[in-house]
Amino acid sequence: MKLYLKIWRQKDASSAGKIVDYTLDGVEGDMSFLEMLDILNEELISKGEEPVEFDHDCREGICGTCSLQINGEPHGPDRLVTTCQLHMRKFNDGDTIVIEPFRAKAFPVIKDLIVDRSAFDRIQQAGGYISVNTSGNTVDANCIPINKHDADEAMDAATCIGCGACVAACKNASAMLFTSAKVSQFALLPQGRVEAVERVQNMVRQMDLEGFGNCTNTGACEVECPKGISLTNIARMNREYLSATLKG
Amino acid sequence: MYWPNLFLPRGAQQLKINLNKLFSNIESLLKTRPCCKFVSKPALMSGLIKSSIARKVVMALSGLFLVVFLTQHFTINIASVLDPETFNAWSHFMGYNPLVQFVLQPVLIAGVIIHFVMGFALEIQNKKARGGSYVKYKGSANAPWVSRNMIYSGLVILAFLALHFYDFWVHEMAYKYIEVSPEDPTRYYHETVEKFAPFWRTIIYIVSFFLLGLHLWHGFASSFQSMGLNNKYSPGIKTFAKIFSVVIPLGFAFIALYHHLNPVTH
Repeated sequence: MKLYLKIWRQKDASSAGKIVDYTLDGVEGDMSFLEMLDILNEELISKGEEPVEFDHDCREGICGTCSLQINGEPHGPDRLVTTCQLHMRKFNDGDTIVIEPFRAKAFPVIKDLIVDRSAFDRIQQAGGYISVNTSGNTVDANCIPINKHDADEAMDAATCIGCGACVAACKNASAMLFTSAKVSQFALLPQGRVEAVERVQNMVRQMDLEGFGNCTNTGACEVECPKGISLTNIARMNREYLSATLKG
Repeated sequence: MYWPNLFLPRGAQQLKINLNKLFSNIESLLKTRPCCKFVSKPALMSGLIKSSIARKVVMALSGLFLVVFLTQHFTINIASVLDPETFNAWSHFMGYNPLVQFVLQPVLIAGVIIHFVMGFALEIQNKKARGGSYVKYKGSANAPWVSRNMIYSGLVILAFLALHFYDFWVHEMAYKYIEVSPEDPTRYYHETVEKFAPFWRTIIYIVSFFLLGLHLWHGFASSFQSMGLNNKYSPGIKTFAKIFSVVIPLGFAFIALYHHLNPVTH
């Protein structure tokens, strides 16, 4: 199939970017979206042009490295998949595809389609952990009985891969879904309760400091999340935050 | 924090050393675990006001308060269609009861102001959070129009409120407190119905009620999520909120149209 690509090209963080048109022939339906970009880059390199920079790592939909706003949606039109798992059979011959980086003030563009998502790391570092004695006396986590329902919900929250699609999709560039998933995965388990009060306060404070927007409950994040993280996590984080504030 | 180096007897010196150790331990604990600093009361209070979650809760609570007010307003208004005498009696009570006039009325005005000022502040902040704009952004792919355009439905409602205040509130204030006219428990029905004689006002009211409905369609149910309520009762709450957001604005529109089509015959 033949595709007309409109790709955001930006030399570096301080330069202004612009959309550049490319035409790519010979794309097959079985190719992933990133493989299609690989083919484009091969062509660009053979012509002596600079290849399009984009983030990728595992290409199995589990690492959260790939991003891309494809035709106005993070990870493209398909649901519950990352860009690396999006296949070209979802597009038709002659389609025009607009490819942009995820846009948020807290995710500055580094080059072309690559953005700096270290704001997520800093939110995680602010409280997305439990303090465990690892000096040889570590207690087996399975010694504490946990309700199956709570364990499942915590696991669902923990499947967040931190790709940033929630921020990219949200009209307010809010990071509430990501932060709430990271709060929830601990809040639901007895090991996480120990530091629950400080955790939610510190993570929300860091989230606000990074310059993400405020949640207005549009639900766009939940729809675009490749891991199907639910909005109930945001409600849980709101609850945790309010109770932590009142307890403090 | 260290004690001044004074000449002290042997026991006291030991105490001083122990206390210095304790203070340095506390200091290092505060440095390594910022959370310990964070749980102090003043920091918490400023955190509550500044945090994004607190702002959501303020929007939710003020919004829910306005929903309660809408219900009360609708109950009185529908009486104007069903029984003019009851409408007059209720309106007179609302207009002259000191609790309503001097406590509830200022609280209501404060509620409206808080809701729209916070709404504007959040909108500005949210626009800034995007940074550079998308070349192509398909908002309709993942969120309903009403949820993405609360600021516009809100702006129309705010503009309507200006007209509505001019139509009724300013008139009432002038009647009672400037002209100091005598109490007349029978005037309300006629005054209300006569307001809807012009076609343009009736249309503006109906259009505003439609946008109020859109605003409530997202806002009412959303306020529960903002306050952390998302559980087995949520589907029921959502259904109730959606029925409310259709029935109440439709009812208000019906009242306006009814009075336009049935003018008072003296």
